[in-house]
Amino acid sequence: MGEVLSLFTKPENDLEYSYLLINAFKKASAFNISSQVMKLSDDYYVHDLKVVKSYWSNLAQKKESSPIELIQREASLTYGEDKLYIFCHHPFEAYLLAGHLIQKKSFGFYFSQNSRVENFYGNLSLDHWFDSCRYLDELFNKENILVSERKANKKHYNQMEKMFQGLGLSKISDFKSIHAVDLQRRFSKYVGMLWDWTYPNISSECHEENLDLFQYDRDVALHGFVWKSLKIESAPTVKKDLDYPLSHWDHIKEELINSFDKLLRFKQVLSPNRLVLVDWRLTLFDLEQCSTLIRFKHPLCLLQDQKKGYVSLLSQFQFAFDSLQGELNQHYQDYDYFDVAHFCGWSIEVKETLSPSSLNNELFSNLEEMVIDQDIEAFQNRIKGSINRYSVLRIDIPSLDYKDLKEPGEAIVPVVTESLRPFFIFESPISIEESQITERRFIERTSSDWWVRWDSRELFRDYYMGLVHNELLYLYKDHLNRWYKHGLFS
Amino acid sequence: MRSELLNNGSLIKGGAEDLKFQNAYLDRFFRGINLQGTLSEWGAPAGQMGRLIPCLVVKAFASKCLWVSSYEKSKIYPPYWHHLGVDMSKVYFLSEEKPLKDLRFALREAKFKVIVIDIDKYVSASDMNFLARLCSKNNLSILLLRKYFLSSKNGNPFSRVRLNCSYSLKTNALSINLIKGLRTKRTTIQLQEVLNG
Repeated sequence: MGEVLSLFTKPENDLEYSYLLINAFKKASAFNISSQVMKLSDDYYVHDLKVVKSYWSNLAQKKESSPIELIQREASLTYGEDKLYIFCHHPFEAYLLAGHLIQKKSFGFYFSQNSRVENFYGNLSLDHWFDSCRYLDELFNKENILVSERKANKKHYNQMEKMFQGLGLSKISDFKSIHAVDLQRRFSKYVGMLWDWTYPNISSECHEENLDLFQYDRDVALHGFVWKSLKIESAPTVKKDLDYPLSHWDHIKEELINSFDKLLRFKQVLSPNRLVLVDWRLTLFDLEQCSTLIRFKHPLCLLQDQKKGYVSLLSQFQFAFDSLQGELNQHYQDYDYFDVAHFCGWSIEVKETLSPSSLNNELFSNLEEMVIDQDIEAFQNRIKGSINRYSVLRIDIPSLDYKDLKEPGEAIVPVVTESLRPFFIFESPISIEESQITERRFIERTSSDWWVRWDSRELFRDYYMGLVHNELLYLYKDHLNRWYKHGLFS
Repeated sequence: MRSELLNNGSLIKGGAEDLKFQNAYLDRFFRGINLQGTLSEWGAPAGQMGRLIPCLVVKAFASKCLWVSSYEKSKIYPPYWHHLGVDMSKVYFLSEEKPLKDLRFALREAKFKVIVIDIDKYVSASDMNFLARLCSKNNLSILLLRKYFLSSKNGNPFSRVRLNCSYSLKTNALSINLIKGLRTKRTTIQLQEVLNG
């Protein structure tokens, strides 16, 4: 049985699109929408919205607007309203759409999930699809991307064209029903990837997505598409050479504060710019270097953090330091003279920044202090893990009765049930002998949507609260009288 | 004694009011026990339903709450909270292996009104001191859940309130044992009475 136990952690005010393609020449402020921008051609730029999702979602909540609206406003302000903007789930999907819309001299905002857009996307010709694939090949050739995967591409394209002609397929939607795995088997892994990129939503359904509130797995979202982000021009870098090697955080912390102060001299990190990714490259006593990337879950304003004594920066640097030192200490265990790692210097390089205009930057809000302090994002930047929020569904089958909130205004429906649920749930039910259960109390009987499912009996269960080895467990008996433990009353 | 005189015989600190549980049994038990702006310690071993009352305390606070858990292998089941009527939009969950080490910086500036630390590790006296000071400085309510039952023999000078909670399957009743607070007392409440008031 497919147990749905992934955490549902999307915030209510969610940004449902992953990328924004803009058909315009690059502006100086390229990172005003996202800290990660990829150049597809001279006038096609793709912005990764997922990495800045928390920023736009939180800002939208404060402004009682939607993240999409704010991004639209920001884009219009920067590039003008007479440009083409496509919100999508994959850069290639947007590129396919853009090629067609440019030919038709269309401009404005387009959304890949809009039914009208979906309709004409499906009607794009396969010739257009092959042309786009060939263009992508040229781009990847220039950047030396996926070289081995694309070895026999020309041959495969010709074979595919012949096959599609033979099958009488002419539109993209005609090959929607073909499985990527079949294409991969017949032609190559890369052709399978192209299919994934054309229909990212369908292929996402096949993968288990990471729904963490502030993090996501880009490799899963891109389905093998290699992302090459634009770099910050003359990236701010601060170097520190210590007079004597240090190994303890308390000593390193003091020197780091000096480095942060020096970083403030660069205008790229001052308001309205915010820090997203920092590379901390430490030099060990034997002059070996090790690098650790520090990503802020919510883009960080350096000046604001300075006022707070660099709490967020120091927290994240300490987590990085602890983890690095843990690894290095193991390495140095067998050394005669050192049993812990000693550092004799470092460099801090700002890798990514976000610089929204004053319109969409809470740093220019009158409520600045209040906004920064009260909100959850400041806290999020000071901790190691990610915080989660949940909503519950009206489904009477334990472990299937919760989900992520998709619609911004979606209300939480109160579930009225007499039965008590366990505090902890197990990832999957664990088989147990009935003899191990010393006491039990019946809770409820569950059924399933038997009119939809083919084999629904697996969800016919009798749930009990039972005592096993003096622990209160959430147990169930299936239709074959087999016992399982499913959770813990704690 | 001073607070007693100021509050007509009740041990309520600085004019703080009792939590309203919307449950006659719990309201009666917690009358005069101050959980607001203090560090309280709860004996709640796994598999004894000791987290039920802390969850109802979170509900009664009706403020932004952070629930930190150091139980790595166990997955929190949100419908449990929802079933208890807890406003899920106000509860933030965080899984942290070493919460008292890794959250030290963050907790100082945190704007939560209630923090529950569900910890299965040793808590040192200096950590206790840190939490107690945090409570008094920020008027924060911290519920520290321990993986064993608390004993009155081993006191904790840092927490004003110490309780043990457990459930008996035989009697279908929850027992709450206050070992430090207004005065030591014990009560047994039927589970349905806890859930339905």
